[in-house]
Amino acid sequence: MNLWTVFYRLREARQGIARNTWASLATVVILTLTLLMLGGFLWLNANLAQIATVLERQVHVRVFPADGTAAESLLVNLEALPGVAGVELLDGELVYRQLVPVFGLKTLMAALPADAFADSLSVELADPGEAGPVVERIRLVDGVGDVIWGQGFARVLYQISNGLRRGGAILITGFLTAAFLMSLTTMHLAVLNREVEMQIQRWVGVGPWGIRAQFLIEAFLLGLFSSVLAGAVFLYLGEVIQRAIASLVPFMSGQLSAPVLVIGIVLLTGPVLAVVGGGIASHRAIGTGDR
Amino acid sequence: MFLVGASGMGKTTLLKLLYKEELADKGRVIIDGNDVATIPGSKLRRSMGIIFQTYRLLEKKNAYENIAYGAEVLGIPPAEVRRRTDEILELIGLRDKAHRLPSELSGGEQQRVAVGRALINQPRLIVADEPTGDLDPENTDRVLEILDRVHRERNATVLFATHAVEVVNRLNRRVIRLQDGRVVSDTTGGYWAREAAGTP
Repeated sequence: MNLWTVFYRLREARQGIARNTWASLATVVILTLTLLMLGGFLWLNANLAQIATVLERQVHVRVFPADGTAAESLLVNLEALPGVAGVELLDGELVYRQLVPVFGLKTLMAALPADAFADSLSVELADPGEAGPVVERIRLVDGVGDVIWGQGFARVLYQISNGLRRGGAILITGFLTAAFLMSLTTMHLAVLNREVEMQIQRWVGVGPWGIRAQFLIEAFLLGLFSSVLAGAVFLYLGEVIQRAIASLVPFMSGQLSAPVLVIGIVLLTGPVLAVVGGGIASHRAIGTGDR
Repeated sequence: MFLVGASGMGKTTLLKLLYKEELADKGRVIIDGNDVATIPGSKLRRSMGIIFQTYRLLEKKNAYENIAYGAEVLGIPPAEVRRRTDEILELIGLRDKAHRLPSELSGGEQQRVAVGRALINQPRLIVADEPTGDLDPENTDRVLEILDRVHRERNATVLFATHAVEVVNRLNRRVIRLQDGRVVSDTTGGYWAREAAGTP
């Protein structure tokens, strides 16, 4: 195929897309939505490990001694427990003093007595994922009163992440299939619309790949347009999400990876998906043999 | 050269074998010393011009674009396409109607556009399957005249399939007659007409 043929095919592809306006539009919409879902899913997946680590870091176990027990006396026993990496004593008076600059001494004293905060212990876990069993062991230690940890919060977030991962995979598969079928149908319509053109091309000596090129270029343009659209939307949404996370969950700010790789994959997937659809549709009409 | 015979005698099949629309079950098809079975169909058809009874023009392209189309899809540079198309429009006598759509042309004019399209790539062999089948005598004459000029001036072989005696007898050319898929006569001049009239 020489340069003139490429120009000519590009022009014909553009006209072909315009001729099948509604089918082309439907393909672009479906492809764009699919690529957005795909991008979101990939971005989430890429960040899951990061999110999990950050979440795990937030799982603090706080131990309050039972009445009549001194917090210091629990230090050694807690440190000896399997799964415990370290224990820190949190002085109740220190906590009270830290609040003074915030509320003012007078206000604070009016609200809370000086011994309002009991001494407690902060336990660092060797494996935050195994927090449950360790907490159970801590509860069994003599002199331990109350144990507080972020089990519920972490568990819910993990469940949401896993659900998204599983549901996202199913959803993406469904959308990819729909997008593929949609591009196949659009290209099939294009092929049907151009039966006479294809016959004429054959009569004047254009080979099967030359005829097919028309549909492949058309499919490529549709796929590329969808990809660029999805990439732009994704870039914008990515920015919005990053900003929202930064304001809602400050400790996650700056922790999420930039969606550059994901946008690259999205830009590549659209044309590939559309060209495969166009290739199959034209193959059914043209075949490959140069008879 | 005329290829004659009643309907169903094998004229169209023979032409299809020539441009590889169909493949021979038995025997060989030789064009210019080459077995067509060994030549890719696209390469073979690039040296041919094919004309049918139905014009098969692109409805959304005007006469000029329909003719140019055959060259554009082969990647001929635009300047050369313009030169050839202008020349052909002159030859078929449609220069003044170059920008009309097929729906704005008469049947005879549409067939002349189809002939023009077949000529755009300067073929050495023109295969015409009943090209005047739907035309009145006046337009039939014009198409015959164009093809005769192409044969004389461009040295192209024109293979013209028809079942119409009056068409054959307008030109004093070689006539091959087919019956039940076989050549039953190969003569020059109005032989078939005399035979049809019972005076061989």
